[in-house]
Amino acid sequence: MQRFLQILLILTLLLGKEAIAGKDKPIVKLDGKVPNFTLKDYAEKEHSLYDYLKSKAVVVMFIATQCPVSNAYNERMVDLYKSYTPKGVAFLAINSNKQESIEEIAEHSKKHGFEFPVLKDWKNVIADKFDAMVTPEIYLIDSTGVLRYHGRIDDSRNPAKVTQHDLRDVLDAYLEGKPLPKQDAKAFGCTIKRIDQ
Amino acid sequence: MKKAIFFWILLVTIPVFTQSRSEEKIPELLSLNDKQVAELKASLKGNVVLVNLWATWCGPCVKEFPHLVKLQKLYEKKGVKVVFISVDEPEDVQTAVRPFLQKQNVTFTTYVKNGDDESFIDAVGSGWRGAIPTTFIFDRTGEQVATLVGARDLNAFESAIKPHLE
Repeated sequence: MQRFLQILLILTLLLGKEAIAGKDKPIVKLDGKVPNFTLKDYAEKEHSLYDYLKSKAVVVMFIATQCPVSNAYNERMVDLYKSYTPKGVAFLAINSNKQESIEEIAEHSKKHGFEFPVLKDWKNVIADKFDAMVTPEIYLIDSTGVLRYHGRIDDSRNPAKVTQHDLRDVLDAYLEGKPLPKQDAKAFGCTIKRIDQ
Repeated sequence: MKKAIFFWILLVTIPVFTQSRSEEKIPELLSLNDKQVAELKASLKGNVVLVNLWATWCGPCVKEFPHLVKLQKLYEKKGVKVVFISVDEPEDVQTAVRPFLQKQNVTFTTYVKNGDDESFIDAVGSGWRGAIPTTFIFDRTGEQVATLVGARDLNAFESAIKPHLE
């Protein structure tokens, strides 16, 4: 009987773990529809992804306040915002790092002149749905809510050494109605610090 | 055969710095490109291998690093090999990477990434997107048995390798 109860307990734990894992399985895939989400920015204002689909495209950027790679891109993110907002592209930044507070995010955003909303993803729920692993990590969503590009901004954290402007090239092609030069590009960056770590 | 492959890698990889042979305490730091990653992995078959991707600018990597150095010392005789691969920029190797390795008392060969980031990321781990620190664990047959994304401590690394030590 005791043995039976032990097995039952182990099975319960395993099934419970699987259920939790299943809940957070990534559901955002290239050329697939991105589900809506709603998060608050550091000023407690709610932002829903689908409200931004009236734009020509939405650039979702997973960023951090403490990651040297993400910080190396602060100016470039501001430049992208300034270049492409007039062309009808919306920008949403998401901070999913468990150790980075609302106050820290607010200070960081103001210090670096971010005019785009920076949303706090408590318990990394949205990072899990997007399977975002690194900062900075970019997702380009078209006006129908379909993911068109996933990956890096460019090919070097040192602005002087950039040779491939991946996100700009993809945005330019998309806005001109041309085939995208690529849909996925990887780069080194910091891990997103999740609640289970 | 394993030895031959290993020595071939030593020959084809370019030492990042020239150093005096008398400075035996200074660990060898070799440049490694995407094509050499597979050769390196193959040469280490027969060991339980932990391939750690790190950088001096990465706080969690720096915090985790001593745990892996200790793991290597504790489990060396059991056929465990820790392979550090720095993804620092080439200009930071001499000023940041080497001093860090010396400070950490690393006495074995380590590597620094060379060449295009994306092809290197693809060569190191399937499905990996370049987040560091990440540690890939390979069993003695060379099969990848675990991917630890984010910093871990000695206990976590011991738990991960113990099932593969026999």
